[in-house]
Amino acid sequence: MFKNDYKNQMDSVKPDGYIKDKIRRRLAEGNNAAPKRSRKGFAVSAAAAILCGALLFSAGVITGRHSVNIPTAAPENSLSIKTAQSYDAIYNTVKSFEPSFWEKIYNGFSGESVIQEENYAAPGGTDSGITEDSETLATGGYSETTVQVEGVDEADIVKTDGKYIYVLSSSVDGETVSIVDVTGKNPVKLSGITADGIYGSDMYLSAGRLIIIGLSEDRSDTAAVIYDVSDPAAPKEIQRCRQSGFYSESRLISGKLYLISNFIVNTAEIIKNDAKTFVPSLECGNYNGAVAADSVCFYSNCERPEYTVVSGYDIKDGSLTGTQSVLGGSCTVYASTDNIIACGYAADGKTQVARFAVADGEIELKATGELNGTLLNQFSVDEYKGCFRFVLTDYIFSGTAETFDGSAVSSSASQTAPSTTNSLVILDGNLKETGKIENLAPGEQVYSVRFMGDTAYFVTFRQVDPLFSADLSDPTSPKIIGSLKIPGFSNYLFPYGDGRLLGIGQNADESTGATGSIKLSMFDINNPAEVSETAKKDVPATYSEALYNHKATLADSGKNIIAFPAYGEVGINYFIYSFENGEFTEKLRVTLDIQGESCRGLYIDDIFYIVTPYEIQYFELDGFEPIGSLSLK
Amino acid sequence: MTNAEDISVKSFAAPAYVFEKYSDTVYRLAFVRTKSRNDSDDILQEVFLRYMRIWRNMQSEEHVKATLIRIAINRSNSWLSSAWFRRTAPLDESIPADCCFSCENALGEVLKLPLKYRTVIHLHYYMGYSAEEIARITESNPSTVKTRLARAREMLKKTIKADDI
Repeated sequence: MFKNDYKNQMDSVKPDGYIKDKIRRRLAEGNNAAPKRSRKGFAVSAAAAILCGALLFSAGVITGRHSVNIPTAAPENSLSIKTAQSYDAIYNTVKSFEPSFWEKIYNGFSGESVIQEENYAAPGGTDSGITEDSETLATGGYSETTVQVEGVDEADIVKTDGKYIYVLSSSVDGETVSIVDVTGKNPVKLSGITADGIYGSDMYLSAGRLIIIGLSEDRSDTAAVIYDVSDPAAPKEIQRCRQSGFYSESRLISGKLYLISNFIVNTAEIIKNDAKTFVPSLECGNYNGAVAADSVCFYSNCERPEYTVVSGYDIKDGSLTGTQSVLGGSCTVYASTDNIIACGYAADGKTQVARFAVADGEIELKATGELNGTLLNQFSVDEYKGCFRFVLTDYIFSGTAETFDGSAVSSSASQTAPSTTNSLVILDGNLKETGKIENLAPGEQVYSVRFMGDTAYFVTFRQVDPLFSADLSDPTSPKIIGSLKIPGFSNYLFPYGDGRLLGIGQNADESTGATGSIKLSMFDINNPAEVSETAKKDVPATYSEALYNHKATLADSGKNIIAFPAYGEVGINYFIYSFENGEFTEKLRVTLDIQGESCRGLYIDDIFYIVTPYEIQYFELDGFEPIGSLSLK
Repeated sequence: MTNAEDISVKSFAAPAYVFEKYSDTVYRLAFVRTKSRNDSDDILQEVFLRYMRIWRNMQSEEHVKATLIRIAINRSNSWLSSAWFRRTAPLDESIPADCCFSCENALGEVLKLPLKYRTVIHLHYYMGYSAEEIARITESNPSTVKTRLARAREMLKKTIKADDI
């Protein structure tokens, strides 16, 4: 049968997982109105400013915003919070937004500029950061998802409790999750879960519960399905939770699931006596309907009909424990055990920040604020001793260097202003500034950040990679104490044992900045003021999910494992390195039979597992001798 | 949940949802036309970035699908005619695709067809559109589409020993 043959063969043609991730990220950026970079970002924010009448100065359109050298008009970062008194108040606010806001935004710049955005080819630049993991996590007999903050679990596509491995499939059809029993001599597929009605993209496993999170199938709401997996052979669905908007982020803290979504109101079609048309809705075991008016807040300078919805659910039964919405979108989410910091794009290249205090599922908006510049990712934010620290890249648009359409109008060196500058800002609990460092690495942008207590490390990049170290011990007076220039850049910085920082990134040509192979670096940070690169290794691959997703890397200094998948001339491989005698040593290189779907590595006791959506390959942890494989198809 | 239907109007068209549902579809169409995975990656991105600007105009799920197909065809047209492509790729339509499919199979044979023929074959056999629907989506004449389908079938029959094309 030609038709069937053709269909079957064509079905195997799929975009690589990392391409899809890149596009998802860009779609998410679009949802948040102001893409990060350059002319496009400016065009959007300028348009936003004009639409809202907030910053109505025509010169701004032509000359761009002032350089950061000029003191900003509003030194106060903190913005007042207005809690809605009634649905009518919310309705009036939402209604005040231009109905065709999005159309105007998108029509505001020419078609091509949207698509041909520079830097897009630079893989690590879009979104990446640092990861942590290994510090002291190697206590148990198995590895867990690489997370930013200890005690704050992050969702992923593979989860284990040391006895069973749960694998989320990337395909829309068929089983959503495979459950594999690894308690016996050989792993055995025990059961599976088919989650109808949801495009699962993320997963949690905790206290006998498996939670699948994703887009609901019938519309673009965020959904979480909670299963009882206390008997993994017979998983039982116990509750479905939904909340309005696109799935943005989630965290699991002490048995409470926090779901964060972005809900965009279609202002053209809101109905005054139907709150659900302009207020976020929730549906779960003990709640069904629009959220209460007093759980909705506004930024004082809010200008978009888009909510950040943060809700807490008890994973025992899926009951709602708290919810809070802020009119104003978010895209970068940081969470400690006590706070969720949701950051979104604001007009004029700024970032708006909201701090939600979370405690046992209850959520309270404590403060909002605004910062100059944009964040790279969740690792650009940190909480330490009651202070909140941020590293930002500020894109400057100077009329002398660039016109609105991006063409250079002057080649004279004296007139060429830096297109970017970077800063480190420390805020207190009210999101009021206590101290900052400005004008860092002009012309470069932040590629990775790692906060470690009193010290911050971050990498900026244009052609040569400076690894900066900053002393933050006095929150009123942060200081740069060191900078190390080496070729290439790191997308992630992982603590790797005492006094060592592991960098995963890419080589780059020192004169052109063109990127090359994947590079591992080990930095000696015993003296933060004099950081040195003590070892480096070129990985025979050019791209990896590890460059933009911290969860793709397993960096465990306790077991001395640095593991990640990577793509190159030689196909898709899983690499494992160790760091011994001051050098990186390749311990394993396995070819993966995937088209670019994500892949994770983990260990349980003395076995190392490499998990793809289709197969689990397993190895002796000691020496990485292959033992066998299990098909999940 | 009847009220909830009103929550996000046009949610069937929301980019994130549409991307999850149709990214493979768009990619496959791009692949059939460009025969290149790399080019298909780029087209996939372009299609969805363009889609993002128009999604609120979508009337129905069918409209979404047809729009995506049309953008994918337009984008791959401009891709195939771009200076970059002409410079770097041989114009010979008979070049094998940069994938590992054996030439004996159905996909391999379809990929050997000229561009206009493999496009209609794909839309008809893979996506299940009738000649009339293909004509509407691609804004061409139904009889042209029928002729192309017939011609493509003949060409395939020469290489594939199957009566069921």
